[in-house]
Amino acid sequence: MSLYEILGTLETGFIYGIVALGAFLTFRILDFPDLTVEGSFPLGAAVAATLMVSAGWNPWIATICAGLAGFVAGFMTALLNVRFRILHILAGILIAISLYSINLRIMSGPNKPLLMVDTVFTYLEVFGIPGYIINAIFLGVVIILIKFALDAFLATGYGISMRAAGSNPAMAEANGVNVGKMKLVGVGFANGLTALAGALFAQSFGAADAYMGIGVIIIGLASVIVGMSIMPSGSIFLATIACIVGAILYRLAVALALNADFIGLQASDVQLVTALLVIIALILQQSGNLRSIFRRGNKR
Amino acid sequence: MTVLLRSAVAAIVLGVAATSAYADDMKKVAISTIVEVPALTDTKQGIIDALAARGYVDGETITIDYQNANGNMPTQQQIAKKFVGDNPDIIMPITTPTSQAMISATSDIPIVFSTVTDPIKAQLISQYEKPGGNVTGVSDAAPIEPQLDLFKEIVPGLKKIGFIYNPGLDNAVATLGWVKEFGAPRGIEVVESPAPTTNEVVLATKKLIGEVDAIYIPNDTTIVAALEAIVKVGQDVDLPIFTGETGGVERGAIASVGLDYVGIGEIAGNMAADVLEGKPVGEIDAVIAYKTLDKFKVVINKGAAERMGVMIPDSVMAQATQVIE
Repeated sequence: MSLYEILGTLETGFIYGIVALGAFLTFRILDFPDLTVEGSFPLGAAVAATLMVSAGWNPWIATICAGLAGFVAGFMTALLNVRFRILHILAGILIAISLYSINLRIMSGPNKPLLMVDTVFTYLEVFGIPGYIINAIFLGVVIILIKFALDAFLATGYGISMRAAGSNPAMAEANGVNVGKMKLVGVGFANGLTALAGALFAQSFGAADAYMGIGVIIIGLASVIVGMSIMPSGSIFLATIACIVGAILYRLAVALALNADFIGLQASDVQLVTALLVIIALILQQSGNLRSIFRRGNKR
Repeated sequence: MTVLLRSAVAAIVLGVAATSAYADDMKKVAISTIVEVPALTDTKQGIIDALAARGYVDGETITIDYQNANGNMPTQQQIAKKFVGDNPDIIMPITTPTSQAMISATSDIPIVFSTVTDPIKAQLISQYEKPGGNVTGVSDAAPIEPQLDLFKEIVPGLKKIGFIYNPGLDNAVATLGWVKEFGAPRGIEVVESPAPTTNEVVLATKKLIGEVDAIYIPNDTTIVAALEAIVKVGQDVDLPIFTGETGGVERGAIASVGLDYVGIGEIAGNMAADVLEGKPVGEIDAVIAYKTLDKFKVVINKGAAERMGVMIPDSVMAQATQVIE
């Protein structure tokens, strides 16, 4: 694996790490299985691309607007759930499928190229470091900033109320926490992060595409679970690190699968190999426990 | 954390092994596509065939690295990074997003794209003739001209053609422009009949009765969803119905002309061979496949023609690659 590929893998891993942090907020903190992300990721890409290409906006502002659009999408899902009592999973599916049409409208087509406009990555060229290095560093800084912001948020009174609303809604409600409001804000935030990731991914990919969202939910969730299994921890600080590590490991598994053709694997086996590598990583993680089981067996 | 370390080491070891699998003296060709569907695997086959015909045989004179993203954009992105890191002699992306990812990843390594409908709109190139930079390739734009020629052969008095479409769809609007552009020199005038939803398709069809000599149904999902209803109207009033896609012929349209994707791959493969022989990629003209291809998929539905009161001339039957009775 070349340095270029390793940094490229990190780049993609950092971007999907943002998605994983969003998934962590919904699935782990709020206990809200949110499927909106499948639509809000391409929404972020579409909004950023359209603002940059058609409206000629500054890419930084366009990227932030993409995040805001994602917040609205997540807010709508939570609204369907909280206000209209639609099952959370269904609410997410409904918003995600409607976003597919909305994204086509926003981009007035399925694909919006970003190959001939300035992106946030263009601005990094002033540092005079080759793109493939500075992009990875930049995205690394972005995700660390988001991680610390999320940690800090969850440590505030508001954030603790949100955690309470997720872990024990009845108790939280009894203590005066507005659980519905927590869901609206939390799911909104999570989708804002996802859309932000979508906007960054589109700029790194070279285009926004209506089909960019395929599999986002699986990648986000797998990253959280892989991270949590490898680094089990009670603290938010370590848990958010675990999400990022999980996202990077997932991309690393894909990279390995891409390089595994020399042992007779075909290009179409990538998904299978990725899944197997994730499984192996999870089993290896338990190998400590395995060893102790064997030791106990020997003693007897 | 030791697990992390272990997997990282494993990653690097595997990666190095993979990279060294390339023989150093052989030229390297990297091919990728977003997903494996017949049109795309045919394109890939055409590329490999054409390269072999020019003496570039995989495993003998060149090494071909083929990667498929399994429909996954981040995986596509990683493939782009892997290719650039491997530094092949040429990168051959198939489909629009694959090409965009590759072009975004490198402006040095020669890129020959294929099966991209509108490479200018996708910003892969800025012009077809000597596109410059590191990119050229083959467009699979719909073969409107051969289609109109065929329709005119089947309906010799074709002066006005009805065009039913969803004005909200990009590709339908683009196709409308092409049918107008290529119809004009053939003496064919286009009569538009928009139908923004599938429910309005029958009405949009009936509006055309008496106004046109035939109807063209573009590859527009809104309209194609109601193709059977359109075909029924056509049968009731003996109005010939043609489709922009050969799949529609099986569902009751009279005829269509489709692209041979192996042929598209062959054009791209020959461009790649030129690049391997030292020709600067930016000086190779990008092409629209149907303008250079001489063989097409011509599908005729004889039964449908009879039911719409049309006799298929023998000259047309002779061109058919597939006849549905």
